[in-house]
This record gives sequence, C-alpha cells and structure tokens, in this order.
Amino acid sequence: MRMSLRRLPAVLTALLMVVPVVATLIYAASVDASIWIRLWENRIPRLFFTSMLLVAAVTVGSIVLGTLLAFLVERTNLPGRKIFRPLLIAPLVTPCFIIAITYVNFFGIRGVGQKMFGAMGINCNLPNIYGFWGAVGIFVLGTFPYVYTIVLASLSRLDPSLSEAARCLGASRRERMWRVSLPLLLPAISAGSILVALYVFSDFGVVSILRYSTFVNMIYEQISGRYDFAVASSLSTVLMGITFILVFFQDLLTKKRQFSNTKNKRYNLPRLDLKWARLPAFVFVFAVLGFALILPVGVLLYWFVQSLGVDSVWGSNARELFRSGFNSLLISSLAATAAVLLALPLAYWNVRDRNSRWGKICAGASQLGVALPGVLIALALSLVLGQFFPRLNFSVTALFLAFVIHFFAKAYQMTRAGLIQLSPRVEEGARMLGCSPVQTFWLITRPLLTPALMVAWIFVFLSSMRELAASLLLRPAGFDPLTVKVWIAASEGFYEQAAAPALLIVILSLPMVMIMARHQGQYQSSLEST
Amino acid sequence: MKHLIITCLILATYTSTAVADLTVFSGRKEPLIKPVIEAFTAETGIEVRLKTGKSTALGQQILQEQPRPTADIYIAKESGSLEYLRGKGAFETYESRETKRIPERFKARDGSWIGVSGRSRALIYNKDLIDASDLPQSIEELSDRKYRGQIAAVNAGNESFIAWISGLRLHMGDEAVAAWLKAMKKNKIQLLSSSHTDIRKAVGRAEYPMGLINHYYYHLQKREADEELTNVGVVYLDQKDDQRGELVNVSGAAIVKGTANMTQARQFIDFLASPKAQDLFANANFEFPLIADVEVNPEVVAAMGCEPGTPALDCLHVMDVHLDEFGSQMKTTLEILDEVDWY
Repeated sequence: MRMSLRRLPAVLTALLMVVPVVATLIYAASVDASIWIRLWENRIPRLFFTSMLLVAAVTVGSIVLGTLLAFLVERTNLPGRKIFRPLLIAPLVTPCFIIAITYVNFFGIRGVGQKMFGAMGINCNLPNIYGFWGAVGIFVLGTFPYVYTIVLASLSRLDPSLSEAARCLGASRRERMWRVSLPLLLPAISAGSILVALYVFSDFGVVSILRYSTFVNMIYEQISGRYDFAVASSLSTVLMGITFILVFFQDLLTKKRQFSNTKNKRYNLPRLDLKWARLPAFVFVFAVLGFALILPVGVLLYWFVQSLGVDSVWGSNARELFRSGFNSLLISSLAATAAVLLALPLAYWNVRDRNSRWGKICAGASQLGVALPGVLIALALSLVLGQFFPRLNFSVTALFLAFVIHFFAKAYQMTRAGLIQLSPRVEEGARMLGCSPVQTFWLITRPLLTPALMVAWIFVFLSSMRELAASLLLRPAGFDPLTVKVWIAASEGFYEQAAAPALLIVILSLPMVMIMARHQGQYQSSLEST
Repeated sequence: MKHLIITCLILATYTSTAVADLTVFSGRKEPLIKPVIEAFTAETGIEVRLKTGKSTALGQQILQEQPRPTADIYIAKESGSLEYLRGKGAFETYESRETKRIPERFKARDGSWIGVSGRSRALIYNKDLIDASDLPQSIEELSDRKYRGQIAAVNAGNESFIAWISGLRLHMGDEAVAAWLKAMKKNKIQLLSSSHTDIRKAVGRAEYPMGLINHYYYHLQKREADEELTNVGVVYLDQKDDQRGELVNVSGAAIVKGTANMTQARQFIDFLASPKAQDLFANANFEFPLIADVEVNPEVVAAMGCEPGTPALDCLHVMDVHLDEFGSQMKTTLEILDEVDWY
C-alpha cells in the first residue's frame, strides 16, 4: 500500500503525538532494575491505591451530580432552570487548583470561613478540608460540568418514542428509566466520565494543595527535585499504563453499546412535576452553584479587595499582571489554533477514506496523548528537546508543543465528529461543478465545519488557560502564564497577590465558556463519538 | 492570511517575554529574591529577567542547556545544589573585593560560588498547643512516643531538608540516620509537602503543635498580619556543648559558565555581597548576613537568647560540617530518603 505525499501532514502530526510516549518508555527501559524493585516494594502499590481510589470516587461523584443537575434543569419544573442552565457550566472558568486554594483558606482552621462565622457570632469548627475527602469534593465541584454539559445535550435530544413504546409494552416507570432512558444516556455519561477521570489523573495542583499524594504529584516532585529522572520515568510508565487501560475500556464500553440517537432534533417533552420537592431542589442546585462558583470567586474577590490596600507587593504590578495575561492568551490561542489545524488533515483522511489502514493507525496513534498527564508530557518533551534541540528546550515553543500534544486528542475527536456529520455528497457536488479541492474546502467544507472547529478550538484554549504543571516545568525565564503567577504567589501564602491573576483567568475564560454553553449540541455529539 | 496571523502571533509571543540584560534563575522563592533584584536594578539600571522555581529543577535546566545557557546567574537556596553543579563544571569562577568579604567557609574553595545568606535549622511550635517545658531539645527526642503525630515536616522534595539529612549522616553515620528516619515515620511525622511555608502556616494555624523548618520561617510567621496566627515560638535543637548543634547552611549564587553577559553577571554577584543586599536578606527575610558590616536582625538573636548585636553564629551552637561536602553526599542521602519512603 502506497501513501501519497498529501498524507504527509497527517502522518507527521501522528508522529509528533507519539513522541512523549516513546521517549518515556525508552528512558524508563534504561532505568536500573534495583530502582524498579524498590518502587514496586513500597511506593507504586501505595500510589496505585491512592490514585485509583481518588479517580473512582471523583468520577462517581461527578456522574451522579452532573446527571442529576442535567435532569433537574432539562426535565423538571425546577424554578429558575433557564438561568441555571448556562450557569452550571460556569465553574469551568476556575481551574480546580484555584478552587482548592480558596477552599483551603476558607475551611482551614482560623481561615476566612471561621472568621466570617465568628463575626456572625457562630463559633464552629469547619470540616477538615485536607486529604482524601477534601480532594474528592473539590474535584467533583470542578469537573461535574463536563458530565453535565454532555448529558444535558443528550437528554434534550432523547427520542421519546422509545420510552413510549416501552410503556405500551407494559414497562413500569422504574423499568423504563433503568432499561430505556439510562442506557440511551450511557454514551454521554461515559464520555463525560472519561474526561473527568483523565483530568483527575493529570491534575497535580489540587492534590498537592490538599496534601494527598498520587502518581502525578509524586512524578512532579521527582522531576523538579532530582537530577536524574529514573524514578520519575518509572512512575510515569506505570501511570501511562493505567490511563491507557482506562481509555481502552471506555472505548470498549461505548463501542459495544451504540444506542446513540443520531437524529439532530429537540423534543419538547412534558416536564416532571417536582411538587413539594421544588424548593429543596432549587436550594440544592443553588448550593452546588454556591460551592462551585460563588464561594471560590467570592474568596478571590475578598483577597483582591484586600490587595488594593497592600502597597508593598514584591513588584507584581499591573504591568507584570497584564504581560502574564497576554502570555496566557497568546500561548493558549496559539496552541488551540495549531491543534485544530493539525487535526484537520488527519480527520479528513480518516473520515473520507474510511478503508485506509494507515489512516486508522495514524489516528489511533495520535490519540495516545489523551491519556498523558501534563507533567508527563513536560518530562518527555524536556528529555527529547534536551537531546536533539537544546535551543528549544525551556522555551515558548516547548510550552506550545506541550499544550498541543496534551490537548490534540480532544481537538481531533471534535473535528472528526463534525466532519462525520457532513455528507461527502456536498463536496462531490462542488467538485463536479468545477471547484478545485482547495476551493471546495474553503467555500463548502469550512463554513459547514466551523461550529465543530470552534468548539474544538475553545476546548483547547480553555484547557491551556487552566494548565499548570507543564507551564511550571517548561516556561522560559520572563514568561509566566497566569496559572504560574497564581501558583507561585499562593504557594508562598501571598493570597492577596494570587487574587488578581486568578480573577484574570476567570475573566478571560468566561466568554469562551459562554460560547461553548451555546454550542452544547456540537460539543455533545463530538464527545459522544469518541 | 491565517498563516500571516499565526506568524504574527508567534513573533508577538517571543517579544512579549520581558526585555532584559541579565537572566537570573532563582531557587529562592520569588518574594525572597524580588526585593533584592529590584534594588539591583534601581542601583545599576540593569534590567533583570527572573525565573523562580526549585533549585534542583533550575540546576537541571542549566546543566541541560550547556554549553549555551539562557541563564547568567544561578541562585540556589542551599549549598548542595551549588556544589553539585560546580562538580559538573557549570560555573565560572569569580573573585573580587566584594566577594572577599564573605568568609571562606561560606563559599566554594575555587571561587565558583558565594554564599549570600545563612540559615539555621530549627523547630517552630505553637504556644497554644504545647508548653515550652514539654518541648524536645534534641533530634533524638523527636521520635519519642509523646510527640506521636505532633510534628510536621517537609518531604524529600525539599533541598534544605536533604542537606540537613546529609549533615546528620556525616555526624551520625548512614545506618543511625536511616534508623532515626524510620523511627520518625513510625512516630507518625506529618509530611505535608515540599514547602516550609506550608509547615509554618500549619503550625501557626494550630493544625500541628510543632514543625521542622529553617529558622527564618519562624520570624516570617511572627510577622503574619493576623494576630491569631502569630502565637508561635522557636527552639534550636542540640544546643548543649556535648551535642552536635544545628546545621547552618547558606543560600548562594554563581555565574553560569558560558554567559554572554559577564560584566552584568559580575556586577550582580558583587551586589549580592554588598551591604545593601545583605541588609535586605537580614531584615526583610531574617537570615544571617554573611559580611561583617551588616548586623543580624535583633529579633533573630533575641529568639536565640542572646543580646542584640551578637553575631548569630557566635550565639548558636553550629553543627561542624563543611558545606562543600553536600554536593557529593546528595545521592546517598536521596537513596536513604527513598528507602524509608520519605513522602
């Protein structure tokens, strides 16, 4: 089988995405056996247990919370549902580690919360936020929107005829829910939960702040605290193995059960009357929003107001803040643009030339990155660049590459999903009427594909804005993205200084999240077809 | 069109990194080094580009970037990293009238790095939770059952802690140190993170009665704006004449080999040894100044139980070790810490 030259961009893209995996494996293969033995004896079993427990608990929590909220907003007469509907996505604007910083200070002993209650005359000890349960709570609050968005879109298009048919055949209400509605939602729920699980595996900020040790923060400690990467690459290999197995099973699960409804239509169903539960439901949804959005942003605002009174701030003035904001915006939009542009040829090849075995292999290879935490990509990139392109190591380019590799898989999936919905007949028609391939793409395919590309772009952009570990490890001197600014200030306890950059992240992300909220449909269909 | 936009964006990204004449990599935390850099820029007009991070991570970057470094100056928070990099030939040697003022024992023998400030190990405690008479006075006592679960410390990701363990090894021997570390773990020592700031804050908030720190973290905690958080005290361990004393380490600086900005780099090193910079280290961060003209902050010697004006190093019973041994000891120390799973 010969490959034509026009496949070259796609092949190169796939190769780029494989680099971190290969580099880590090669490095880990050269690690001394005694180190492996020592790691297997104590650290790996412990980390395996703590990491898996955390991921499992957060995933279950997010599924329950996300699905419940989607159901309440979409299918019941919940008061204020029209306002809640877009607002419940908004927690995505605050990176989880920033939620964690605010929570630690709100719930901590002698923290903001205790003072607030103290001022109201209530003396109480707030629950201990550190450790497993605190981490689970914060991750659930930070990640339930992933599940919520996808399930919401799926619910709004659930074809009622299936449920009605079941009813005619004598199924009870409970049976219909368990045997018809839930299975129909399963692809959406599983797509959302894999996003959550991979996020938890890769986030190092929250677990570090809450003193809970998992693979990711252990690897980060090793990369930043050692001169040789033997332990780091060994742990990375194990973590990589775990995430690959996870992605593989999720794939299996969705492939076996393709109930997904392809009709792109909204049905207006009668909403469930909550009756006496209307008020409790309202309070519940409001409380979720309060904990996920109002409390963290509120604490940030409180610090920000305080910071206005402090004059000696070690030089993080407005100029530096705006430069950081500019850096974040630029690198995130560059990464998003590159990811989408790279995804196009590969998606084209895969969708329009379904029988190409090479196309499938390249697409599969390009998906490896989805399972890699940012820490691991930073480590691998630094190893490769250090070896072959030392000038590029620790540069803006390195950071840019890390973001592209980290988030490419999702950009590809969304682009591909958009392309699948687009009938090749339209393009063929344009060709027959005399358009060149380039003209066809520009005049026909591009406008039709724009919504999907936009959602993909926004996803990569937002993820890059939130990224912390790779930024900390790969940034060049004088180029601090906002997340790094927040992290450096907060880890020294200068919360007043962390407030302004943290709020800037929220402000810059907000419009994007709102655009995404409007395109829930696209977002959903692209994620379901993972 | 799209390509044009992208090219512009890339160019803009590169130009948006700060314009500077000197690039400093600092393992000292940003709030602890920024005032010094600002004073340097104010005095010389030289713009500095700063990257802060962990001493090891930055040292690693310097080694990887040889022979064409992006950094001109490397600042580390303890001598182990400096010695390790010196051993790899990563520094230029430099001596001047200014650096001569730093005592011999606080700089590299070959002139490749200088110490800029001294810091001792110490134990911070919360006065609400533990009585001064109940406090431990030696490190052996720390593993006593009555302190079970009461002591917070950093994990093996902290360079100051690693150097401390290296110092203890040189005094006690590897096996005794490993046994002591194991006893501490068994006694439920709380390893919070790799940052001493977390330790001092946790003790200040009364989460734990005691914490192992560098001495200036006690003074930084004392300076917290919220009075509720400042009810802390400090103990220097092993202070009797027959005991080994506390480890005093230095944070230090070096010129990176192959720097393109040698003149500015030298000016910067000279500035670090000048009274102005030493005064900032002594009074903004409560460290021991290393030149004779600058006095240690009176609060620091007062906490040691000495008259104001006494040099800190005369007041304290200091552990007898050579700082230049830490570089070569680091590997074994890390192996021992891995062995006992100090995370």
